[in-house]
Amino acid sequence: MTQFKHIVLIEDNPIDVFINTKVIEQANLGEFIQSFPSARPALDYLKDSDKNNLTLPELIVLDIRMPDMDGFEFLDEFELFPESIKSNIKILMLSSSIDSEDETKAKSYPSVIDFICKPLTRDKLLSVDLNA
Amino acid sequence: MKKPIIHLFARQTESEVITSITEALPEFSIQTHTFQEVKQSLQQGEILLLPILNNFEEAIRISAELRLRNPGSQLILIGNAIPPLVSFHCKAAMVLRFDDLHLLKEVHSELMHANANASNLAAMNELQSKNNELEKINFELDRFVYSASHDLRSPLTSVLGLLYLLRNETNTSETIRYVDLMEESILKLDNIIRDIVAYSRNNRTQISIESIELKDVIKDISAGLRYLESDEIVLKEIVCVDEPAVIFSDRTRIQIILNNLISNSIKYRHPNRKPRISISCKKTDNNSIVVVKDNGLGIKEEHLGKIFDMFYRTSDKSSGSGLGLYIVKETIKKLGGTVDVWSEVNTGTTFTLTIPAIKEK
Repeated sequence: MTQFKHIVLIEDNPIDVFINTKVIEQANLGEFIQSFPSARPALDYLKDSDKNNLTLPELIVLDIRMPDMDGFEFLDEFELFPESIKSNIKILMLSSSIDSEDETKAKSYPSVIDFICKPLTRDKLLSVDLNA
Repeated sequence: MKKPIIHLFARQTESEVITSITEALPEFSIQTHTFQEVKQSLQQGEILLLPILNNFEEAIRISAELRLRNPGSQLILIGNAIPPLVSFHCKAAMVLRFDDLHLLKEVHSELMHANANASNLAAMNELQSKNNELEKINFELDRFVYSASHDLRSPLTSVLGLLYLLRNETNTSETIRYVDLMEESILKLDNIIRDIVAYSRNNRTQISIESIELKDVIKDISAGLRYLESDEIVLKEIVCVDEPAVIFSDRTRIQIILNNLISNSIKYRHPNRKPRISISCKKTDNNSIVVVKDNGLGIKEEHLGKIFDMFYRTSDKSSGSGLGLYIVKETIKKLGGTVDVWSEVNTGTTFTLTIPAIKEK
């Protein structure tokens, strides 16, 4: 499996944060896994990372259904970021949504490389082409 | 062609009267009813015949009953010496003498036409209001199904994820952790389903009024909430009612409302201080005002307009269904009242319930 140095998980349900972190760890996918309970603090982190001398993630695992600001609203803001931030970040969308429209919509964003239905498992991670 | 129907209300002993009327009106199909059947409703907009022989008071009483049960129908009195005052009180469309029964033929079509219009209008109004209600129900159902499918699935996908981890885990302290989290998710799912049932019950059952002592309601709620939070810090600070508070309303619904508000106050308590929830009641001429005030986390202003929406949650952290305040709003609406909220972040939240005084029947 490809190794990422820094993975960001954006998920509001603390139980799912626990599960997803564990699965990602067990798949040896990333050295450092950081989670945000909502979209806004994640956006702020990304925006100010340079200023604060913090590392940018190479992979973001993003939940769709969150109160306040949902996954799509995050993507809308993210796509407005400068290339210096966006270019090295791949986004994996994670959802308990059984709505096929969500999948189509997700894949229309250039930064999104795949769409996975919860629960996240090692097999599902393996099936993603992380070099896309 | 079918004969037009006329309903004749008469005592069984008045067989002569019945016969003479039937013979006088061969063009009509006379359906005879006894006085006991006066309490039934017939088709809308029919013609009702009531022979009056001597007991005028009884006649007035019976015609009132007939008109109540058969809105849009025309009442015709038959008798030979009916005082005008009686026909006024009976609110009859016509008064006929036995000899003049044949005149009914001529005016029948006019009467039926008048009936048809009146009952059409009434029917149309009822149809419109039923239609509006159905639209509202359908809209709510769609929203509900959409939200429920997500909210009901979410704890299940969590449990599935935990089961997957559990299968591959050898470390027992970790497996116990997984089991605890599975229980948490399932309890959350159970809460959601309970709230859905409570919501449905509120929509369907009739209101029953009784005298309610708020102190008792709150005692019941406290007993039920004892197991809500794993840490036992909470429950003891509920300040009970300021004055002996008795309100006349539907007990189950008042309990649902207060239960939701109190459990929210506990759920969203401030981490740095002991939670205080005070419930007070004030009576005005027409209403009871019940205030539920807490010193919890408070609600951000941007959420205030939406907290009463179905499935709206400010965060996924709580075990709540997102239906609690929606249920409060709908339940109090059913009682004819209103709910208002005031809140300040880090200070607390105050809910004000206005419950109209429903008179005891």
